[in-house]
Amino acid sequence: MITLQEYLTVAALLFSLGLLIVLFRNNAISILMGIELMLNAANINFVAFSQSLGGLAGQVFALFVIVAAAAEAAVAIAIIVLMYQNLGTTDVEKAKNLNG
Amino acid sequence: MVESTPMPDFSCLMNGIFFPYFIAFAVIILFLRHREKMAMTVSILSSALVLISTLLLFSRHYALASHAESPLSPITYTVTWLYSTSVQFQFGYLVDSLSVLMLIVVEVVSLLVQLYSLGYMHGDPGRARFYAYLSLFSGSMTGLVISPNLLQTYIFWELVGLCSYLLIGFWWHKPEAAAAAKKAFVMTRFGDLGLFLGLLMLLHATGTSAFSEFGSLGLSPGAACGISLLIFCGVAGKSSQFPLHTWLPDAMEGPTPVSALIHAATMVVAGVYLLSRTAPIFLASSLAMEIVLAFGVVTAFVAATMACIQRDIKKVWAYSTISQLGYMVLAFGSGSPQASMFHLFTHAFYKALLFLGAGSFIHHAGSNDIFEIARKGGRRMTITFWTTVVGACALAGLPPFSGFFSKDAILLSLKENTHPLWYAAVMITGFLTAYYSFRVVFLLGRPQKVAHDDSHDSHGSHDSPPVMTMPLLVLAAATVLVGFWEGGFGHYLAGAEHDPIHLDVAIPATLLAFLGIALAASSFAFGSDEEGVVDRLPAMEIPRKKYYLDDFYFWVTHKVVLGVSWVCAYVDRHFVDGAVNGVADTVRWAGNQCSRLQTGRVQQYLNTLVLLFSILGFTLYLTVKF
Repeated sequence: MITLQEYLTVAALLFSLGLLIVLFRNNAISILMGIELMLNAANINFVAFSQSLGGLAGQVFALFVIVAAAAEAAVAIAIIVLMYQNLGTTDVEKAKNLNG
Repeated sequence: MVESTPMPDFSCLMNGIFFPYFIAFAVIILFLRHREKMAMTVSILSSALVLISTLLLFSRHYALASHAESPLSPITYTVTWLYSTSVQFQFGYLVDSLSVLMLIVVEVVSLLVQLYSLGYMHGDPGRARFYAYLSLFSGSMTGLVISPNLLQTYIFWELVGLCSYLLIGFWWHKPEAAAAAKKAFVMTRFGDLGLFLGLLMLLHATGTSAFSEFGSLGLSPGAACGISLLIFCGVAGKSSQFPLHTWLPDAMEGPTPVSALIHAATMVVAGVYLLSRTAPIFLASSLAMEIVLAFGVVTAFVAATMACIQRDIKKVWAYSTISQLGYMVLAFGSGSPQASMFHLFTHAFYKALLFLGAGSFIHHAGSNDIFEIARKGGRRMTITFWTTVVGACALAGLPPFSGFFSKDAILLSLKENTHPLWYAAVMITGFLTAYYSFRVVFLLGRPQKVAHDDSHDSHGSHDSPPVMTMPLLVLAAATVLVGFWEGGFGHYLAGAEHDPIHLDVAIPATLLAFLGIALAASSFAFGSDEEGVVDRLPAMEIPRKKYYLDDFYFWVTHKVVLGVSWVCAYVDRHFVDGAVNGVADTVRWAGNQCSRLQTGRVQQYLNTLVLLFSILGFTLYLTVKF
């Protein structure tokens, strides 16, 4: 039997991994992948709590998150393509036109 | 019109005196601006109508007064105009001997000036406008004379000031005329401020401004002094008393008939008239009377010295007007409003005469310069010249001309009521007056060396047209005759008994006048000198520089006012603007500093965000017990 604690530990590790990628990778596509990891860490939490507490609300939420993540990926990739067309790179460090 | 006393009803006559001028003004301005003949006819007819009404009023009122045992009480016809809980203002007419006498002066001179202007302004393109302004001017003065309270007086007082502005600047295309008009307006406004404050103080202290209640105001001497001195400020501005007199000589830039009107009837005498009207307030404060006396004497003397050295004939008469106004004011200050009014009365006729005569000379010679007029044959303009001599005799105070009688009354009052110093100063002024008036006469009348004028300047001996000389003759007759009416005047005005001529005053005054004439004769009557003994006195440099008053006012307006403005501008620019700019600069600097935080690097933002949320979460974990 896998306990809730173990699920949450895996989710926390996954979230931290995603966060680190988002914070420290420069490539926009990597950052997008990091965000996906964080979302899925949240999904694991939803499903784990759903299993542990009974009821379907957590699983429904997980489904919504997957949908939102798909939409987000579509938009984000479109943005990244445009960014590459305009700046010739996908390095977020280079995209700082809005600095003060 | 509400009749307030069971007296014969003059209200119809008063309507006939008050309205025609304003109707004429409105009609001319609205409909007749380009129809000069019609405009002049309307104006002169309205003036004649007013004069007839005035004479009717006078004859009926005079008959009433001479049959009454006690002096007549003033008759007022008023309607309530403004109404509030504390004060109420009446608008209407006041008939008493003072206003009736003043009306005679105003209307006679107005009509004569309007007739005279037919000749003087002949061919001027703005004649319709000129007559409209003349009508408004006379109408305003009429309204001032018959107003039953100080507020109505003030309204017409300002209207008179406005008209003088319009008429002095009638030839507005001349820069000097425009400047003189502005100067007259500003200087008199300066005094009017005092009058207005006096009016407010009076209303505050007593709640009334009706002249009929002035006798029983019960003001404390301090309040009476304050109010009367404020009123005197207005009087000094309007009647051109020292040191506010400088506008009057400049006002000579206007057409000469206007000068006659201003000097004799409609402007400067308004101040003296107001003094007589408000006499009860002045009489309540001996200090105020002393101050009025002092200003009058200084004005009379200072102006007389300046009149001695002018080359411009109109300026001589202008300064003499200031001097004579000084006489009226000092007569009032010596405690004899009656003598003041009588001098106003006689002065109006001989000064109108002198100015219209000057206008006739100027019209003929095309110049204001006395020497130029003499060269162009002024002495051969028989009527103009001899009527001017009559006017000069009256001005110099020679018996039996009218000026002699009124000056005698003034000197008598001075001698009896005041310090001998004032009396002596006025005596010397009388000497100067005789000198400068006969200086003009001798300069104009002496034989000219250059005789070639006779041959080719054929119109040289022609006098002005009859429409100009007729008013001169009428005024000359009045100048000779009105002096003998002194007894009747005094009785009518104040119920006083006739004062015979006092020889102890009259003889020295007359001797001094003859001395002045002798000095003028010895300087100018023979030969062709342009300068007499008096002109060569080193002390005359001061009057020649107009007692430095114009320089002083120039200094005040240009140095003091501009200096203060400069300081204000400096403070505004460097302190007020500095504070505003400083705030703006600080905000901009702070904004610049803060904008450095915005690096544009997404990950930096995220780092900050995560760091802050971690701190928040950690703090929550530590503080909140789950």
